[in-house]
Amino acid sequence: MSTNGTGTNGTTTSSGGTSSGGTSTIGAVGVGGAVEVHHEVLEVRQDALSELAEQAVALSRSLAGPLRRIALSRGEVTVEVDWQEAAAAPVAPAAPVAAVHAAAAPVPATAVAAPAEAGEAGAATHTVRAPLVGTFYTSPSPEEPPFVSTGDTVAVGQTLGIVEAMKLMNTIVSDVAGRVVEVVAGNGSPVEFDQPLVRIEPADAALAG
Amino acid sequence: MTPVFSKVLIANRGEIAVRVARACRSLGVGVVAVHSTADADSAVVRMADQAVNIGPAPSRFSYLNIPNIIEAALQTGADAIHPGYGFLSEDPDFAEVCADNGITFIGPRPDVMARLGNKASARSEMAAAGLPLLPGVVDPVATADEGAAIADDIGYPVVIKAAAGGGGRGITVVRDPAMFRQAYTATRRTAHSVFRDSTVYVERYLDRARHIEVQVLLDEHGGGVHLGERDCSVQRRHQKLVEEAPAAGLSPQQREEIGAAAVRGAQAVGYTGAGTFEFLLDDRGNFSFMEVNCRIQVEHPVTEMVTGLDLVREQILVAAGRPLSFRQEDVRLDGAAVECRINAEDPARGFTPTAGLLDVFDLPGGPGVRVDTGLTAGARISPHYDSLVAKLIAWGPDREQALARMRTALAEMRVEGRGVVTTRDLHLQVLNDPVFQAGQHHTGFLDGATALSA
Repeated sequence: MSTNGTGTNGTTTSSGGTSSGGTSTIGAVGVGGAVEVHHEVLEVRQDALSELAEQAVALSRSLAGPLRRIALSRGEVTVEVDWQEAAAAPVAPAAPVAAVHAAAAPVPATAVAAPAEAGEAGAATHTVRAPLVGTFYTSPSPEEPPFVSTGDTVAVGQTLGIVEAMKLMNTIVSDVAGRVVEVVAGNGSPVEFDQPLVRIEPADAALAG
Repeated sequence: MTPVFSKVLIANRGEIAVRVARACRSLGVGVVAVHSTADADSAVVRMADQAVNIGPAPSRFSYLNIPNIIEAALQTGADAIHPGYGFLSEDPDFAEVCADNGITFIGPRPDVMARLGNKASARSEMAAAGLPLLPGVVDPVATADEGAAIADDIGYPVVIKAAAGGGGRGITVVRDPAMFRQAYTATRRTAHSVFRDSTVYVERYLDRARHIEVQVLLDEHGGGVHLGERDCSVQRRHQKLVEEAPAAGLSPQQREEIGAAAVRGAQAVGYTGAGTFEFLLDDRGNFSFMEVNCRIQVEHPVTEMVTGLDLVREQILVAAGRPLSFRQEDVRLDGAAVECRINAEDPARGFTPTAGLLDVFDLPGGPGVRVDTGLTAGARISPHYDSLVAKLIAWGPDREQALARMRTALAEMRVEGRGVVTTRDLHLQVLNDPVFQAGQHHTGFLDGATALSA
């Protein structure tokens, strides 16, 4: 069977076309580029073509971000649409999908960590959390040095680590500028959604939390 | 017995997650719970050996998040996933992703699920297997003209149904031929917006029919049984409220006939695991096939009460490749059971879901009384998920005693909290209704009953 290449259409089909984000998106956080950009038109029956085309146009106009993929079929019907989430985070927007494809695999997609709640490691600390379930890596490869260490100064959008999920590398970037207080999650450790990864003391104390 | 799986991940929440965890425990199988941030303190999380947060409260980012669920299974070393009901339970793509990652999906094969999940194709599969169907068409209806012609042919009232429909949505009853076109367009639009699939079909509508469904269980070795039927005729807006087993007034011959038909239909499509074949029974005693549910159902406990079986345990064993340990002649139906779905909904305000903190949550007990719930006092009824608070099940040596025990149980049950209103009182009304007590109810019963009491 398979009307889709990613096996993640449950998210898309249930989203009603109005919710945020593409199929690899968790929460209000963009995990760009995890879904391939391609066009599939599956077994479109001749008598249904005009209706489908009409729906496709209407769908593509109703999206919150640029169209990434559309798959249509009819009969044992599926209409699937993946779209790029419109910059959900105030900083470090998701990498353009095209750029991801231009590079060799495995290509880290860009993710912005879920916003943290205040107070876990003192009022002046900001916690960057896992936006998805996967395996956390502190360096690009076992031979290379870690992206960041305790005491490092980081800028907005700077890479803090990688969460590998479903064989895709999702880059975790900082959403604040400041100093790394602690890399909480261990290299190669499994992480769940919302798990603290890195604690940062923001340069602007108002951003703590 | 050696464990069938080392760990089962339960891709669900609420009472059914607890129910599956219990079956795993009885088999000596490890339990992995996955949960949203909103469910971090839920009952199944407390019961599980391991728990993984798979996303924020909205289901589409957590309980429907296939990559996070698969990752959670891989991380924890779960070798099987039980999907419960709802969420991903009837998603063939999810079942396929499980297989691709070496994880057993506890349910029928993805291709079987895909064919039966579409009501129009399920109809044609079952017609081919020789099951009786309501007058109508097997193929999807392509235009309003074609639909109107079919309706004229089979006679009004007719019902227009979304092929991908479920949960009582995408169903329109048409009594007046002049209204057909409008209803056709409206149903297609609903089907498109709710199910992303505008395919509809037309069949005869029965006003005074009963909803009778048959529980089947099939293994991978050609073994298959039916476990009797359930009557789920007490519905509101096509959603079940009260279910019972066996169906009142069914003759042993009718029971055998409908049960055998369900097994025949299941075997014809290579169905494995637990499944439900839904039928309509008209006032002249004729059965017509409606649809197949490829999952464990909310109302499965009434069948467990009269058969003594643990259906979730059987599901797990079958998924592990074990042959069924019993044959049709070994299945004994004993006594009668009834289930009331206690929902956090306000019947006085059109069954609007209510949410809030449960200050008081006193559950009933006594002979033959069972309560399936995922809640405890102090828990919060979340607005993010369905409104089921608890399933109250009562068994008795006969229907009269089962209903009497249920009335006592309903009266004992206390669910209180600011803003929380439940359907408990409505169930008491149903149980006290002479029409229901006499087993004379049909699918239009509740609308009539509420009208009378209003």
